[in-house]
Amino acid sequence: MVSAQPHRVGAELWGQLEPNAGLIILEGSSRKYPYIDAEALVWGGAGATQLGSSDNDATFEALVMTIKVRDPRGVSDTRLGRFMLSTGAVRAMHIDGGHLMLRARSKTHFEVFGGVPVDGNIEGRKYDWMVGGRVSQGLGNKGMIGASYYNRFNAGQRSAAEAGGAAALRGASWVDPSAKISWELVNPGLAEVLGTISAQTASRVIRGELYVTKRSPTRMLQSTSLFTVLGDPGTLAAGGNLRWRAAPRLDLWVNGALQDAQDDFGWSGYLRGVLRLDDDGKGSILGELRRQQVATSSWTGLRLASVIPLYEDHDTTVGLMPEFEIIFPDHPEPNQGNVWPWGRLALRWQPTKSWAVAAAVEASANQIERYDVRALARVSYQGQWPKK
Amino acid sequence: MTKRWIAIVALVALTGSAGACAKILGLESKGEPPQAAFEHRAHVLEGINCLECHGGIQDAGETGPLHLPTTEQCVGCHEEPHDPNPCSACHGRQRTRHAAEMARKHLRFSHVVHFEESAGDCVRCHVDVKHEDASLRPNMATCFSCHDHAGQWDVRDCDGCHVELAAEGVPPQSHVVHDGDFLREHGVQANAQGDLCTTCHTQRQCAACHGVTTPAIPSRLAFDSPMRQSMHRANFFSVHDQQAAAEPGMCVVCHSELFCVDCHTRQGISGVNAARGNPHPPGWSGPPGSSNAHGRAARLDPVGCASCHGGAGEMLCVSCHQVGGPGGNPHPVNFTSRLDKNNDLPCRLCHSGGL
Repeated sequence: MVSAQPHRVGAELWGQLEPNAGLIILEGSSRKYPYIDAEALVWGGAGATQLGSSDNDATFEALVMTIKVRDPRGVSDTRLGRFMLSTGAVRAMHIDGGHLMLRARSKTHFEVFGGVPVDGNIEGRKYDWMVGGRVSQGLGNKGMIGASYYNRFNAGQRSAAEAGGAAALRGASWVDPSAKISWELVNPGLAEVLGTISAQTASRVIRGELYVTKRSPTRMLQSTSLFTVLGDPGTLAAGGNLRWRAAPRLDLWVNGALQDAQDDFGWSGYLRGVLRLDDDGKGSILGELRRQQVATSSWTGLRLASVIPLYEDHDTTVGLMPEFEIIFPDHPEPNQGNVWPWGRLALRWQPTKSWAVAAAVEASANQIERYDVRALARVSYQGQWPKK
Repeated sequence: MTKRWIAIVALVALTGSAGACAKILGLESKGEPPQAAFEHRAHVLEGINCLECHGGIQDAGETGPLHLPTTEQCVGCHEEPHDPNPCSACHGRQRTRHAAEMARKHLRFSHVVHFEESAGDCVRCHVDVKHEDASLRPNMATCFSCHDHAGQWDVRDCDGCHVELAAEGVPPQSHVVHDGDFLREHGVQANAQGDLCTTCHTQRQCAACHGVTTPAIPSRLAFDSPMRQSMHRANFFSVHDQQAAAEPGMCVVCHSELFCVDCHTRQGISGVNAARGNPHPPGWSGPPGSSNAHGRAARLDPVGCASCHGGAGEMLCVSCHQVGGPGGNPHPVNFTSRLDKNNDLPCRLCHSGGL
């Protein structure tokens, strides 16, 4: 169905002090033939040592600069520019390049992609490039299965060749199984396998998930890395989570996982509750208790957050968002402190449906800084025409 | 006697607390005017045609009023209203009207077309009208029961009905349900059907976590949405090193393996710039026979090591772990590789000369 669609533009400015960094986000879309979506996400920093610039240096970098062209009938999608490539069993990769998808009437999708990884100019990687493809078969509203393959080259040497498969199925309205497997071919062996199955009750009062993850870290590195010679101990995690709508305004979550990292067994988990203060969930309170005890990582965390609506009419809303978190490490190192608290107070003002302004102050004490105070602000605009 | 009074007071307090909790949890309405679901069923049983209240809906296109009944229309039949307030103050829920407003704004739907096709049978689509507490807006499955939207679904053409999914901001209820701990689940779902994700989500949302540089992770970018799930909470910085150790290989799922050194170097916590000291504890490396904790750590998390010692930094390792060197053989038992050890990296760093 091709019909007159609105054109849309969006802009967002985000900035913080200490470290000084800012983001400019521009988005636009047009639904004349063909459909076009354009995006730019540019960040700049000055003296933002944590974010990649030296003191007193000003840095600007485009994280996303992409245009996507789509045939309205869905026959093809083409993306060019700097973007995140993530399809099939290919791990998310930041590239300068292109991605083309063609869809046949048989619901078979064909994809080709390639480009230069964005980190390709660091330490001998200036000749990095990658290319790959994927074939997938749609199963209507029952899901999708597919197989993918990609090659990556580093300084002229093939540094990764990975084949994989991914499937997301929907056997019934209450269950969603999905899985992915990646097999490294240069240094043959399993790179990563993920499996998950989620199910929910008809009333959606309860939803649960069981999952298992196995990763081989050395096969996730490029084979040109010296650290691939260390063999492959692999890691395994298996767990589950459950969300229970205990009352119309109260949601509870419980999550637990068993983990194995080179025969170091441990566990992690959390309990979380969200209480909505009104039927529409405009105001809410969150509490979360988290514990991790795996390998050399052992800590307990407590988090409290709230959204407090201060004013609301048809167009305008004002809200206050306090948030607090504290972490208790089991074995703090000397000069790192025994607890690491963090807090933030944010205020949001939305004068119209199109504009929103927010500002916040946050303070923390962590293992690096005894006092760390920052300020954040964001202005955003979303517009479309013709208005509906 | 005293015990009895204590028991009575305790019982009263407990009852009061339970009542207060019930209100807080939404199990019981507050003292505000009750907003009951509109009594559609009662009207249907009385044989009242939908158009008697929703007059004009049969001619409604994609824009225009919602054709919800006014108090004047109600009192046309209910000639002696029991309350001077507008009928909609109590009859019908505000959220149901809001849902109708949102549908008008975000969906491309024309009643006039459907009215003719269904021969005026409203219940054919509004099947939930028999449940007074249900949303009256038909779900997607109802649309699919007549329309061959499957073809549009297969090619991800949602725009035919959804004016602008990204702006609509409603998570799907019938497919890829974003409930539970979907943040944990989203990766494997996106792997299999990433083009479905992009019908709503834009690149900025992917790059916020998976970009080589992540100046503002989602919990910092959307700092005014603390209820939003986030892989890294804002205080993640405090435990990032422990998390990396707990799940070797996990970091590189999102981040480039050079992500760590980029920050550590500029923070002065690296071999390149150790202004703030060596990040490794005492006993990290030493002569044969010493504790040499780095070996086990490297096998546990080779990606973590590579993040700082990759590239030219590998020569630090090779200075000891070369053939005949004091570091010994770093390969595990039964190690094999398809690489050419004389010519390919990283083999040639140590095995030059065919050793």
